[in-house]
Amino acid sequence: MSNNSNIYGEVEEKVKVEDWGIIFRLWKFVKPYLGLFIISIILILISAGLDLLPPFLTKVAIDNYISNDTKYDAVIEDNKLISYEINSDGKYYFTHDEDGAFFITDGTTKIPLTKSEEEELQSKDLSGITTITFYLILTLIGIFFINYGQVILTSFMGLKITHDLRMFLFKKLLKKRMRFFDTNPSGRLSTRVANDTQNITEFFTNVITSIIKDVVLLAGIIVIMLYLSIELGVVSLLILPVIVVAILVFRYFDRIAYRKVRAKVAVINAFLAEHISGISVIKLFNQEKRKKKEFDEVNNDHLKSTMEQMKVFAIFRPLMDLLYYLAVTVILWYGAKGITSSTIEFGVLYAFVSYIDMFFRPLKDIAEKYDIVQNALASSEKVFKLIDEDEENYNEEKDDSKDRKGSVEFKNVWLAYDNKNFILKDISFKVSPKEKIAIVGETGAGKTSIISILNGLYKIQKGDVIVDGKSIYDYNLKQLRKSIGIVIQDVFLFSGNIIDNIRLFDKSISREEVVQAAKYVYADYFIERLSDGYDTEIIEGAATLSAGERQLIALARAVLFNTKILVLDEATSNIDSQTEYYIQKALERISQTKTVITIAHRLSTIKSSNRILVMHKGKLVEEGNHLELLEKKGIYADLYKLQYENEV
Amino acid sequence: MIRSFIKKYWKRYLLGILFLIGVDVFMLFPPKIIGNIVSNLEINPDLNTVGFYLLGIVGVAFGMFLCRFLWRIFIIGAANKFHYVTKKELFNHLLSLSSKYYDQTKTGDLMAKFTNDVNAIRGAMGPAVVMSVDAVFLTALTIISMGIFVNWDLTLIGIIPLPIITAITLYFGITIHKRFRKVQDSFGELTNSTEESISGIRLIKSYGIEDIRYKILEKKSNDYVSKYMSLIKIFGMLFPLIMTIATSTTVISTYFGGSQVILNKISLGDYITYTGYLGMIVWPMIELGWVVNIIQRGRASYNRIMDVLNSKSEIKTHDKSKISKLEGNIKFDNLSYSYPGSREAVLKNINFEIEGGSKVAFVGTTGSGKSTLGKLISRMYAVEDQKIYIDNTDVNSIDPEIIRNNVSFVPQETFLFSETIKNNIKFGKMEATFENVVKYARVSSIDEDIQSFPGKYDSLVGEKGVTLSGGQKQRIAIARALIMETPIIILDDCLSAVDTETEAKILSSLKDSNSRKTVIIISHRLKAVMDADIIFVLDNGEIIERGTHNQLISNNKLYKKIYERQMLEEKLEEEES
Repeated sequence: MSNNSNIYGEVEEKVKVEDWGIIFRLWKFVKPYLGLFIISIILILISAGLDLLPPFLTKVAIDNYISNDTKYDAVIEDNKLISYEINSDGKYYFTHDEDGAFFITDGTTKIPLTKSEEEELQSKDLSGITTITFYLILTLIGIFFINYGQVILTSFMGLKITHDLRMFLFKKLLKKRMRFFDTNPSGRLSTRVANDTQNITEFFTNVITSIIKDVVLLAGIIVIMLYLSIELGVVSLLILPVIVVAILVFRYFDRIAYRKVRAKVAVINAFLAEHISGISVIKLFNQEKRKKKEFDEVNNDHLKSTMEQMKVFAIFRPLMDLLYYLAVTVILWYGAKGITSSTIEFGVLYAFVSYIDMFFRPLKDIAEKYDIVQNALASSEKVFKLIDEDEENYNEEKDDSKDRKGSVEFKNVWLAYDNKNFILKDISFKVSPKEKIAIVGETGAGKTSIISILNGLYKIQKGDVIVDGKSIYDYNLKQLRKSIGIVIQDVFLFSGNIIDNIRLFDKSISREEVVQAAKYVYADYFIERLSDGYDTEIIEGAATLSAGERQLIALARAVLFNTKILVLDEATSNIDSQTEYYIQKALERISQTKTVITIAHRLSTIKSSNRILVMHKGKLVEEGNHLELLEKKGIYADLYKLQYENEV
Repeated sequence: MIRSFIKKYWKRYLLGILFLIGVDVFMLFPPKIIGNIVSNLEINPDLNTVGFYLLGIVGVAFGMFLCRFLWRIFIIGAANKFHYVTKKELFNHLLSLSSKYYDQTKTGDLMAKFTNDVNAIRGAMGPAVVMSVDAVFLTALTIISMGIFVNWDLTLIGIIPLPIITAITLYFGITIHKRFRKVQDSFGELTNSTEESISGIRLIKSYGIEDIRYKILEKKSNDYVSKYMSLIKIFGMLFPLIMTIATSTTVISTYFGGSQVILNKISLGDYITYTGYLGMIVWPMIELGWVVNIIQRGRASYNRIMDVLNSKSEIKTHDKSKISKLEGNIKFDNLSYSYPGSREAVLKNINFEIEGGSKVAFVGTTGSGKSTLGKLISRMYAVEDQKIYIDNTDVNSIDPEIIRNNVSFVPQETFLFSETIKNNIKFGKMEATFENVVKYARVSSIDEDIQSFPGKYDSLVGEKGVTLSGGQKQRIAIARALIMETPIIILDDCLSAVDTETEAKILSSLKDSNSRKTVIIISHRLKAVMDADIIFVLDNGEIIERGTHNQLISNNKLYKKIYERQMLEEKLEEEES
């Protein structure tokens, strides 16, 4: 047991991100929402712009009002200030000495200000600050609404796109061949419809928008930096590559560590799922100690990988902060130099420090989105693969809605589900309208396959199935199927009430019609006894109804949908005599208006049939009525002894 | 569990918290230093002093780096360790529970405990601790520094938004959680509806109701969209709101701080310090709101896990007997049994005695209760005292481990592990030699099949390796039981997927290899058990006939009926069509 991972499998999907085909197909689903898409991109651009504003506004506040290194042109007479105005090339600036006395100076002469002059100057600055504050508040409100609107919009768009894709997939799925459903686990198929489409939502809501925003932000920051100060801007641009490299390196190690953790989690989950299912075997063989040890190994492997991941984080997260401080230090150093040589103002320096901080966020973001993109593309690929699977040919353009008579003919039918082992071998028989025939045979003789191909659920290899003189493959499949009622042994019920299960959720059929059909097949005798009558909810698995009762419901369906041919595979499990009695009575009624083909497990059924077909090992071996067949002393005679004789 | 863990690892937490506080202290320096630099530049610029200050920032940054590294190692490391310990205890405890527990618990629910719940607790044991400490210390230290270095009036104004931020995150956290649950429920319904349509695809196609099912799913999908949108309405607001309120500290510092500079109350340097400090305390306040959520969820998950850890197996051994080697005399004394939680008795007044070394068979119709016998002898379910005896000792006095060392029970459902075939065969006896593995594979008529696999005995079982047929699995399971060489072996209809001849061959060779073996065969195929010393016929939970094959045939009752049917079936099977 040195290497569990080989056994439980390290789950590692590799997907080519450069799969433009997938993106192109996805784009078709985006197209209807192009308007929304464009609006949200505009909102993103605005929001990025607004995000850049606060540091800039603060810079203006500092340079023009808060800091006193604003330069003025001043007219001075007799050591008195006559007038002044802002001019960045001016010689004068306001300042105060250590006692707090205000004066205007060009560096050599100090002209003290009167109290009123000082107050006037201060109030000018204060109103300037008030204006800036006002702008700041406006920006904040703008940021809030634009961002909120953008999130709502992109989420809505993403959900709608996913919804469309999901429904498209589901529509396609329903058209797949029965064989497809037999070979694909239902869990996997529903994962495609529910979860995989979900992953694609992430791509639209989360990734596209934030990548655009991040790119715009980065570009915006660089532009503003260069605009504010070429010198500091260039210095910053020299530092940034270092940061980018550090982030890329971090992402590289992080991905390795993350994948390892995920692989170990998969191993643990596989181990647990298997060992919880097989726990009785472990206990029966007294292997608790060994399995504890094995789990400990797997668990420890996982712990080690999480510890590794933690170390990657423990180094790189603080490293990011360290880099930030180093970047700030460099900026401050050049900024300080610039301030002493009067080429840079305090506000600019402040803005640079803020922008450097802002620069880190999108870089981290972009790297993180990569996994989501990969995930979404992997899911899209699976979804499209499912969409492309072979479908049934529904012949939807044909109109076969007119009433059928109900004759059935099998002409030399050969069937092999896997194209190799033939289940039906050269089966030929005819059933006339309103005839009542029974098919008997051992388990595995091929009886149920006859049902499966009668309404075209499976394709036959050779021969033809003819309904009312026309091959079933030439019919409008849906309309043909609606005219054939099939009642299988284990009748499927949807979660929902009895009414909906009989009318199969077709709300155009009224409750009265449903009740009438149920009465017609004597199903109401047990339905009335249920706690809520026709409104009784069927819960998953539905142990509420017995196999016989379920068959009565299925018979009601067949009557309600006015089928011309009824095929019934009698339930083998014990049916209480009362239900059995009602089923027989219902069949008697039904056989007056419909062709009835029964796969018989009951004596009463075969005795009341016009004709019995005997199947053995995929072939039709005997045919005739009960007495004729008994006299033959062939397979039917044996079958009869085996299956029916003991019935009372 | 949490207590003993903290008792053991409190030093890690303490150290981690100390380093975390270290980070918080270091964080106080840069704003002050930058403020000093600005003051220096404003009044009498001196690049040397600035350089000295900057070196200070670099030093602090390195200190922070070290402390940040260390608290992660200690606190997150401890949380990971807790994650590990919880899973370990859970799994170990699961192994001690009885079949009754597993009958009543879904595998999926247990898996959810190992994934979601354990992760939620880790969140509360790691990140939540960090966030709480940060929220308390960083906030307190920053406020104090702001007051001392700048002034108290500005400090008081600056912290106004803080409680608002916490309240908002807290409120949003709760609401989001609620709505998120609704989204999950809606998603569950969507999945169920899809699954149902796929399971019922035959019916859907047969009645051509594809369009109706499509509309039903469309409704669910639309409901999901609207539930999700209602989540987004809150969730989408949270971050813009937090960002806005967080940036509102800039408004405060610009307006109030800026005016103070203009009015000459504080210097430009102080203003810069003030701005820096205000920016620092926003995140801890946001986190404080999250912490409450994380802890709440962690506590709920912890309770769910404790529920499992507190459940106990109902199989109790008392008056422990010193017996360790069993001979195989088995006696049932008027046993009636019904499964836990069910009122219907599957076995009624069962009385029999089996002599050690004999070969006995239990036959009967499905649902006659014959399978339950094996489960009770091997103590998979609890049974009343003085009902079942092995070697004249009440099974309730024999440790289950001893019983299982002496009884090989092969259940109906074959379960193999995704390991090599070899390891599956020697599952209960890892020290078995390869020769023995092959020997018992031969006895079980599976050796030839195994030799035909590309990896032979080293082939993996399951998806990643060879796909075994039902019959092959069953025969491997028999070999797995035989290799134990226990004095008693119980086979519960475990060769149903093997053809009759092979079954008979395997069953007859069981006795050859060790004639002292007590062999109990539970089967529905009479041909396989015809040579048994005694055959018990069960119907509806009762023994209605007993005797040798010939006796039972002449009895002319249920046994004979079943026998004749099976002969007829065989005849039909042989008939060429």
